[in-house]
Amino acid sequence: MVETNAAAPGVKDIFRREILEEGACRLDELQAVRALRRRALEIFSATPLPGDAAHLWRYTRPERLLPGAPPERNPKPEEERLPTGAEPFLRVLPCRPPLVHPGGEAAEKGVRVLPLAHVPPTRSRLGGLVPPEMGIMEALNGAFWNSGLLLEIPPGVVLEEPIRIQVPAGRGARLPRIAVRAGRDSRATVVEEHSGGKAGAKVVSVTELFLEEGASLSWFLFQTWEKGVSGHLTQRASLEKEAGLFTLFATLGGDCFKADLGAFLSGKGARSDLAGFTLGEGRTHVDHHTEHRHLAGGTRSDMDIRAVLAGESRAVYTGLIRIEEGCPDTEAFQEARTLLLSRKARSETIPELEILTDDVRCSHGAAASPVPEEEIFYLESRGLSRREALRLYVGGFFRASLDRIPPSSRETVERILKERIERTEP
Amino acid sequence: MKNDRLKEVNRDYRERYGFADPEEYLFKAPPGLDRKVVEMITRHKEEPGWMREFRLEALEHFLARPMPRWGNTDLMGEVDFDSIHYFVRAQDRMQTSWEEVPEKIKKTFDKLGVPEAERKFLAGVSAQYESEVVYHSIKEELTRLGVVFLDMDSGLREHPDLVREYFAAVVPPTDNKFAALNSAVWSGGSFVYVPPGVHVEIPLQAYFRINAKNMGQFERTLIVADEGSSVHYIEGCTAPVYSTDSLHSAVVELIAKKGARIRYSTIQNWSTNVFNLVTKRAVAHEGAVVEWVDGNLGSKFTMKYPSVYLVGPGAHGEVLSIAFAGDGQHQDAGAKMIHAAPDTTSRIVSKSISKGRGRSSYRGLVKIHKGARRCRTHVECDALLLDPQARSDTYPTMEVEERDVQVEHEARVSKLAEEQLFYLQSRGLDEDEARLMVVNGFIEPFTRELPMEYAVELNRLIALEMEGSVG
Repeated sequence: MVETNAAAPGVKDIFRREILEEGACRLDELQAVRALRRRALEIFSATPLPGDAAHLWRYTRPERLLPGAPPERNPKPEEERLPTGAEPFLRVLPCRPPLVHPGGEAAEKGVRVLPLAHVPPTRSRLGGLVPPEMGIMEALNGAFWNSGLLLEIPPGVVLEEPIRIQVPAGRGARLPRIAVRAGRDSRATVVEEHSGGKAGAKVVSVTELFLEEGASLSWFLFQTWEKGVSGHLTQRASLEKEAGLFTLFATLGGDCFKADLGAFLSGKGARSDLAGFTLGEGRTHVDHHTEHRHLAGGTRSDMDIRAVLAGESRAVYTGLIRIEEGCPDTEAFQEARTLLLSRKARSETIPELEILTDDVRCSHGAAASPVPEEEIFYLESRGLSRREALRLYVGGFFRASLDRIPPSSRETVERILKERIERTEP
Repeated sequence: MKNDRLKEVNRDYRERYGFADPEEYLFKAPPGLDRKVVEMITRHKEEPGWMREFRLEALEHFLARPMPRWGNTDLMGEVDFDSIHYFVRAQDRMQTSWEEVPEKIKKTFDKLGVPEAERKFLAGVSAQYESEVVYHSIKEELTRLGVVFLDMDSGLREHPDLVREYFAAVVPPTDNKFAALNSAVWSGGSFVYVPPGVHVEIPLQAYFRINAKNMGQFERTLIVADEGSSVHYIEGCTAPVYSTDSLHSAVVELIAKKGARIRYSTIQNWSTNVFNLVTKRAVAHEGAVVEWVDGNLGSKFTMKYPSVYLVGPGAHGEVLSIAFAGDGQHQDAGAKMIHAAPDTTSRIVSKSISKGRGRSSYRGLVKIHKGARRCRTHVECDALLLDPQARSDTYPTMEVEERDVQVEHEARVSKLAEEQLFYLQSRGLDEDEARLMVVNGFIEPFTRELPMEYAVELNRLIALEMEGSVG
């Protein structure tokens, strides 16, 4: 693999203690927050870059994802321009407090957005789900995150409109960090949009979602980076009793992208439903890991991951269902499907089960195949061009996921999807 | 679930199989492994120079290579290579007839229930007692057909050119640490060569048995089925109980040439202190068929992933396996299918049963190489958990580098269905019998692929594993 933007000097030479202590981002943070950074830095310094013998790094080299320079101190002001629109709107920018669109339902109902740097870790539970020990990316972000927000949804609050969080990839290194505390019996929808970016931009992002008892959260994660942008994203959620999480991710941009998304079903009756899709083209490389860890009985989980691969793209998927001891009456399902459009595309799939309780219903399935020629032939016989037929078929392959996207975002996602399919060889 | 009614796996192993003859050996290497031991083995066997070099190179590789860093590394770490005897030989020379086999060894096979079935039914028997084959008979017909069925040491002596051509062609010593170990100290195992167009109608069988404290067994089996031929080879194992851990690390190589067909069936029932770390691999050329039928019971820890390299167009590979992990056991078994030619097909069916705190894992690989167009592969894993603390893992890997292929994988994990047990009990079976019947039904797709007497033996073993009173 040719490295177009190799982090040759070594990420550890670039991200040194001085940068941390100088307050690279002038965030004016609390001492307790700084203490967590120092701890993360120690772990970062002691953690070697994972080689291809490390389970989740078998097919993706971390060098492709790591920043080759420290973050810029002053991002260009044009990124701060806000689009118009009625819905609440947050923007995560480096070295600044999060921008909050004024007004909207969320503000009225008492939803709070706070700069992570100013919130005591006891309140934000910073690092509680994604500790620096998790790996090199998590340690890097834990030490050097330079834009962060805490979203607090008060107990009992039910939001109709989705909250949008925009994370522009910008230029150089971006290390965003998002924490969400969904209060008891609250209900909300959040759309996290990773977009834009100049060639060579590297994003290493971490998101922690805490769902209290009975909370219900729908989380949409869209990655539509420009060409030349690469990065890593870690997300973990914890679900207390009867909490419900629906996660949908769409990976549609960037050069090299690795995501590690998961949920701990810690409370009885918790439920997590995770769906995702990706469209690979050109020489894009995506590597998704998803996991559901069942820590209590009566829990349910579902995963449905789909990939369409064109050009010389490559998609890696690893998925884990782990049911710990003493989790009776648990159900967990997983499905991974890959549609191969090109002879030069590559797919690697590892769906894993670790089941330590007997009273479970658990299954997984995985399949890789080309577009069935007879289906395309049928559509062509109805007067469609091959390209149109292909687009229709791919749209159908993603349909179940697309239909679950909130209307305000669906159009954007469908447009991007259409553009990507147009570009692929028919 | 009345778990107290169930007994521990192999609880009565000592009564049934826990006999051990006093050790009485003519030659036994000191424990531990270095160049001297390897040179002693090769000198003792009067091997040609190339084999000596092969062993010594493999030894270098074994010593240099770290232990695997994947899988159950805790259990692997328990293997103490320095306390193992790497070569033990029961007799000076091969026996020429059953009558000459020492009474003591016959007695051992009697207790295992082996010889009756063999004498009546089997054609060629190669019974391995200790590290070397002690008894070997080849039916005249096999000889007339030109089929070679020898223990590996005799194979090397009598067919040096054939052995040299194919030995380690499928599993090179550098493949993995345990294959390197086997390559350095191998002893015994079978060598089978089937000439072009010959169909061996009767299964060739070999029995293996470990019987020396701290003694490892490193047999090496090589089966070559020349163009258009077919053969069914059966390997069965049972071992007495010992207090210190025992290592078994075999290498099995199968070569199916154009249009040939090989079926390799195994039922292993090692005592629960044995580490069974085995490399089994086959190469299937154009239009050839290779089938592994693999049953894993017993042992403390098994790592075994029979694989088929489908290198010729239209080749077909199949693995049908069951694993039974009782309390304290880890069966880490699986299969690999490497599609390296177009129009190749494969199927893996894996069934596992975990009881008590037993753990069974499926670890597999399906790889479709670039250019291997129009391949089809289907993997199916079924796990049955008999107790609340039993564990099942599934670790399948699928690597696809071609478009026009069908790759499918499915896995299910479940416990014994209450309604099935209830139905059977309402028909007058007690709970143990009902459970046994459900389990036998679960593994039936495997059992029906076995020759009759093996199916009977397997059902008997499963009954033993399930509990003491049934069967």
